[in-house]
Order: sequence, then structure tokens, then C-alpha cells
Amino acid sequence: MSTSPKILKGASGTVSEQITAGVIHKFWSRSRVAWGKEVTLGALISGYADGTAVKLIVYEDDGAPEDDDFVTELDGKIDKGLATAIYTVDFEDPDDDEGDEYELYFLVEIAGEIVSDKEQCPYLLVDLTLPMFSE
Amino acid sequence: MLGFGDGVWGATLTALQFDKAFQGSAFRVEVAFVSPPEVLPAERIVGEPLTLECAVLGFPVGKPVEFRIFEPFNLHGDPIATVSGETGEEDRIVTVEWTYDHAEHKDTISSTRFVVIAGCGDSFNISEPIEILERFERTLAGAGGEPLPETDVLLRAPGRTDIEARSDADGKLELLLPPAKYLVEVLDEDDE
Repeated sequence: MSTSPKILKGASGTVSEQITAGVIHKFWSRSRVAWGKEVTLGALISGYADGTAVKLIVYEDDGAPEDDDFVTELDGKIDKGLATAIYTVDFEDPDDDEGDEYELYFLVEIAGEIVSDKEQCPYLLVDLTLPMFSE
Repeated sequence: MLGFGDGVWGATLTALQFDKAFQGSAFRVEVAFVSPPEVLPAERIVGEPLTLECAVLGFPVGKPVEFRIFEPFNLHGDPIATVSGETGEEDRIVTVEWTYDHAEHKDTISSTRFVVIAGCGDSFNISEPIEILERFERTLAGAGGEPLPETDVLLRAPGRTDIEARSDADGKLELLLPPAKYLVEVLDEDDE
């Protein structure tokens, strides 16, 4: 095919420090949840076609990533940039010295490759016991 | 995806093919990209038009661009509104207008704090959270109907933090608040 290139009209500039493809944003449907309850998690992902399979891999935060405990792996598909999954919190923390609550985060995997950072994810606070209120 | 003028979109070229095709020509390469949408003006009021805009690069002219408005914790649900635009000829800024109708949504939302997701093709981005407020205008009056100037009040609404305010010299309260039914409680001097 022969094409005569021409300058596109409009402003030109530099795209810097922006994610042009990958995970743009992550969310939980709530910031705090009780053990045994359901929560939705998801990610806004740019640069992948609708229907692309995604794994949302949930961890319990123990500080350094190598210390974090694997919780579960959930399957999703991208639909208009959003991939979501539902998780019922039934993880039993193998560490017994962390009190009555713990924090979950998740990573996004596409085609076997992790495409998001731990720091990019808000935490989900899980209450193992219901909070007590004084009368 | 790379765009080389209006004629070639989504092409994958080797460096040699690229040189042959474009050597000596002036061109601009665009990476497919949608910038985080902005919502203007900065003061967003229920029932007043808002401008949603973002830069869309690397797509041909006339490509549809969709702006979807969600509650931040409900991106997995249906958007409260979807507004469509398209990439233009003259620049790469796509602008649409949207007006938030609180009466339509008040029974299905938890707050008027929203995010906007803009998308073109497979490229997406998200705005910072925005809050849409309502004009609250009342005149404080005493039992005899006389205005109460320079009077401290608490505005109370279910599920919200109390808001302190003070009437002006004519007894008027003019504030921008999250939409709600507020109870106005006049504070005695002893309450302060």
C-alpha cells in the first residue's frame, strides 16, 4: 500500500510518566469488610482487547512482598477496560500474631505476566471479628 | 498502535520499511493514549452543565470516545451516565457536556462523589474523584420572622458529618453542600 504521509493537525506534545497500556486503576467495592462477606475487586486496564482473560491474584499484606501470604486467584475478563471478580473473604491467616484484622491487596496477571504493582492497589481491611461498640 | 497520517493506522512496520516509507517526510508518530479526563469547572453544581474532556492520541478522526461516570466504589456496576463524543479534526481534545440530575439518581447512589472513565478503542483512563455539590440558600429567621444575622448554626443530615456555618449580616446562609435534607440548628452562645 502506498501512502503519502502528512502532518496530522492539532497540538503535539510529549506524553510523560503516563501509563499508555496496562493497569490504570484498581479498586475494591468497599474499603473494609467482615470475614465471610462478599466483596468485588477490579481493575481498569488500557491497551487490551475486550474479552482478554485476566487473573486477579489476592495477597495478604505482611510488609515486604516476599512475606505476603497468597490468598486466592480469581478469573476475570476485560469488558470496556474493566476486569472484575467477586471474592468471599474466607482466608485464614497462617500468621497468628496479627490481631483481629488484616489487609488484602491484589495484583493483575495477563497472559502469564504480572502487569501491576503492589503499591498501585488500595488495601481491603478485613475484620476477623465484628467491631464492638459501647452503649 | 501507531498512526502515520490519515492513511495508515494500526500498522506494524520494521525499521527498514519505516525508513523507506517516510524518509525525508515530515510526520508525527502518536501512541494510542487517552489522558485522564478532566471535569470542568472546578466548582461542580447539581443541575449545571459540566464539561468532560480528555486528550485522545493515536486514533483516526471520527473515532468514538465514551465518557462513563461511576461512583468510585462501584466501577463493577452500571455507570450512572454515559456520554459519547468523537475524536476531532482540529486537535486531540475531546469534549462533551454532562449535567448531573440528582433527582434521577438520588435513590441509587451513596454520595455525589464520582469518577469519569474515558475510553477510545482499547485505550482507557480515569479521572480523579470529583464531588458535585448543591447550592444551599436559606435566610435564618427568629420566632417573629425577624432575620438572624451573624448567627452560628449546625447543618445536620443523616449519615453526614455536621457542618458549621454562620449567617451573614442579613441572616442569609449561602453554601455549597453535598445534596441532602439538612436540619439547621441554631447554636446558642453557650454551645460554642
